[in-house]
Amino acid sequence: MRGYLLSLSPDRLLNRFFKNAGIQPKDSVYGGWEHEGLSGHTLGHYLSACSMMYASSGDERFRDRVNYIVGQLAICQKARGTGYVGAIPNEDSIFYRLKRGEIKSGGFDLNGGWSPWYTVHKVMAGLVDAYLYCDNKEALEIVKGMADWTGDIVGGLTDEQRLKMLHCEFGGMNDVLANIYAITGEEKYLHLSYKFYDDFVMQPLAEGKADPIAGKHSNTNIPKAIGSARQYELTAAAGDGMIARRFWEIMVHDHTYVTGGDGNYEYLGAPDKLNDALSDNTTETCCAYNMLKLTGHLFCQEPLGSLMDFYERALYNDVLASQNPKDAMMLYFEPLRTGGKKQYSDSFNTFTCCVGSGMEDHAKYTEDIYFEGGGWKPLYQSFYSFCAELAGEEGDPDAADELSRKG
Amino acid sequence: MTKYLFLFVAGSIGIQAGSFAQSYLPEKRDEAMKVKPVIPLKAYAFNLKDVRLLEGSPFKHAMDMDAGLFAVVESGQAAEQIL
Repeated sequence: MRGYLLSLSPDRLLNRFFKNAGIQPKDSVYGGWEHEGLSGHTLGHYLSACSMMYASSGDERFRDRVNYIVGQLAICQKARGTGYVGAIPNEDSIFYRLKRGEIKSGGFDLNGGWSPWYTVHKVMAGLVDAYLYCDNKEALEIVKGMADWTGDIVGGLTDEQRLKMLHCEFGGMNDVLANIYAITGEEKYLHLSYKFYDDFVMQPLAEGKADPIAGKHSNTNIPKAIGSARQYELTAAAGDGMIARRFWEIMVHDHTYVTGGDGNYEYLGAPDKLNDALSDNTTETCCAYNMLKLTGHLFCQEPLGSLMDFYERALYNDVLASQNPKDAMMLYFEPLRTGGKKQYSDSFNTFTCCVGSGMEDHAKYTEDIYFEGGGWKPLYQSFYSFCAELAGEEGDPDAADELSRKG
Repeated sequence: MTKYLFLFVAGSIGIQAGSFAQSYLPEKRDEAMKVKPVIPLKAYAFNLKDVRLLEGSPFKHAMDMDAGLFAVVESGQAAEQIL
């Protein structure tokens, strides 16, 4: 059945990519946020999720799907001729004005667009994942074009203009650009990644100042720390390491519910005060998705038990519990109010951020179950539950079996 | 609450990464990354394809259900028709 379904195309997710490239779309646009200002973000998540699902399951139909989408994006990118490819309503105007230094920003608005860098990041991350997990080299070329375009847009901004721009949610732009630097070795992308470095959350964390995230929108800020963690791995810049570690400590110790989730109506409150923050709209699932990414990086840097204690808590209580086990629909909020009821997404008319990150969540459980160590600690197992085995070298899983038994 | 387990396994382990599939977390044999981490790392992620979820685990169920969702997105069919 899945084979049949996978033989159909994802043209509805590509609708506005075609439209914005001046090409007749092959099918109609989906509903929900895909019909609104965040359109295109789902395709990015979908690329990431299918790429990881291919790696996790070995099912080649997912790679075929990735290859198809990348090919279509290449057509759109070529038609536009700027290096950019996207599906955001009115995006040419938003970014043209930004490049000229005309900036109206705040919260989730940048020049009238709904967090446009957030959506750009999702598409870029999807392309990077298509390259990393499916070896799609065209995806790397497309995303390099998008990165160069990003440099063209933000390169001429003054620091004042750039910092003004960063008051609108920008997702993990620093993270994906740092990864493009790691993949290509071209330092311009590393420099570009620091264009997405703010002075009101990141700089205070780097300087060891008091909690700068209290009262702020949670999921706007977690990706910043992920990017800093990656930059730290690639540069050893102490401030970036500080941002990543301190963000995690402040978030987990002062703002996180017992479930491992955070945020009430998406926002963080005063430190260490959650007793009166139990509503139907607690713990946005994207926050756990991003906190797990951050935790994985920190564990590689310093494999502390406390990191994986948190990971296990958030994975079971928040991420795993965000999926309806009967029909795979996703939660935006996990309600912690007494008597609260879960509100799941709809198949085709929701497409919130948490539907997008939810597609990925369940495709990459294998990522952090085991870690390789060294010396007397050659293997780390993250959870008590014995839920996976190491496949090891293809066709010769003996060594992995040995490890699994010891697990 | 330190329920985290260290495993002490003697000898070398013959896990080999594939030729390309890498994660964005650092791996020991990061063939896809030209720039290697410059800080001393103490743990490395496994390649997604080197770990397989076991049948019967809730994670495997969630992954299979998710794979089904992709099919739904493609087809326009309601979830309950295929799951």
